Amino acid sequence: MIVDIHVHPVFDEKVFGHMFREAEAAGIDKLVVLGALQRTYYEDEKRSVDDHNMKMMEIMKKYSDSIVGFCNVGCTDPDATWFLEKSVREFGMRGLGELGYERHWDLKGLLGCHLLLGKAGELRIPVVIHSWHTEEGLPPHLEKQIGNQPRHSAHVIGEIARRCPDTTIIFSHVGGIWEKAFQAAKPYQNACFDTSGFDPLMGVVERAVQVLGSERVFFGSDAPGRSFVAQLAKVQYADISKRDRDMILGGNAMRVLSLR
Amino acid sequence: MVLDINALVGRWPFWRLKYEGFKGVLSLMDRAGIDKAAVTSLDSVFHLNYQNGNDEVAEISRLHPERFIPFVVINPVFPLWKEHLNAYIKEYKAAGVKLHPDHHKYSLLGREVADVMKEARKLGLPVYIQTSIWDMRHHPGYCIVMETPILEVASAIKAYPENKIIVGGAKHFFARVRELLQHGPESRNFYIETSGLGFFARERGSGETLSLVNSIEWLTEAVGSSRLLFGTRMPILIPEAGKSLIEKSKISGDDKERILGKNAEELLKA
Repeated sequence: MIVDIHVHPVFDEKVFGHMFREAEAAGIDKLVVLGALQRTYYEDEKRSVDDHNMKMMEIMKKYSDSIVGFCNVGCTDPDATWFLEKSVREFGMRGLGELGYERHWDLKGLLGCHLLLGKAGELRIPVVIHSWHTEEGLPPHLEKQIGNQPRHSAHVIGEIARRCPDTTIIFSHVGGIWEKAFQAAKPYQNACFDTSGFDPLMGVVERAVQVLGSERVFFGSDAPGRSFVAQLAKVQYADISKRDRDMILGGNAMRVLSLR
Repeated sequence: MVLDINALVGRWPFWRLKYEGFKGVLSLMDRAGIDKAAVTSLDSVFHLNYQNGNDEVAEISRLHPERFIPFVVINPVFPLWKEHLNAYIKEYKAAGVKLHPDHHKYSLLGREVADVMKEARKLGLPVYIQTSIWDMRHHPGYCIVMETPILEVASAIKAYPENKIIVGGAKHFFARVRELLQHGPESRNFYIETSGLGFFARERGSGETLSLVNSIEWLTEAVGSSRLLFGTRMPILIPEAGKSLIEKSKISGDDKERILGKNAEELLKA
């Protein structure tokens, strides 16, 4: 069973259908469709959180065997925990995220979201957090040129996990500079990573398994930005045991999403 | 024949690669079903003297002429580069020149590159421009190397219409290639290396219709399969990732054959 834990929503039916068929052709059995909020390429869509979740419901209905929906809340919304509970209990969402993409908002803000993250733990659902930590000491002009996604220092990864020990947190994109991210997360068993969204670098998945254990690593693609085939290769061709590969490709996702 | 236009021997400074060095690259080629590889050395990028890497490439190409096709890295701001180039061409029949303007810190529009292009034309060699060797968002703080701007590449392609130029890059390379095509749609003297192209594109067709296409399908449609060259950047990247991307694309068998090796064979023979 292959489960992709990191797929962004596409609300154009034709495009979603195409993406779904590409995933099927690549051998992926289930797609976790994240409820991303205000990512750059959705800026013109001006969708409200509520509207976003309703659209997700439609996709989940249409592809009920193959799609797992995550809900989307504004981290600074005072009603976020209420909305999260409603989305899970009434609409069947099985996770929260991808958090961390709100505009004008530093990812360090997540440190103040332990009520929301704690609620996810109480509901026994995982949280996916966009994660790309910065390197210390870069001049501002360089930061800008490297990329404009939200960044934070590596220790934030560990600190978020420490404050919410009962919540499974999946940090996306192996944390950016994975060596630091893995070390920051290592002491906290609830801190996990997905493999999505960067070129298929050799040795990263092996390193994740070595430092964290395969139970804390999830396959993700970052589609529709990235290709399923190239992203899958990171795990399929990693020098790890069959057991570890099976866990990363789907076993872990089935476990944390309570799927059969 | 599957021919990888961008394999790398030498030592990678940022983490330990299991398949580092020519023996590792050979085993990856066998594993991924790659018959031949155009090869340069990472030592030409990271050592103070880029010739260290070329020496290594000369040696392994002599040992394994059936598997490795030597390219020579030239740093045109290094003294006596022209003599080095001619010596390597004469001694080990390098089949192409490779430039790393990001690491070696020069502009593609300067006098130095004009000289390289002139020499390459004289020798009938393609020039590979690597705008970045790996996504700079991963670079450690002590060694951030800004990628060569794609518009500079576009200008170089226009400035040297008689050269055959291969373009390869890293961070969001598909987006960079689309930018390149917007700025030089009429130029046909360049090829695109495929190792950084694992992306989808959302295309707006007639009216409001959207479609999703993978990068290889999009480029085959936009510029033709004859302008794409299969490359892996192994052992930094997993070679099967780039190979599967082409093999699983919805393009014709003939197009796949061209991209995976035929185009490179023709280019290097020419």
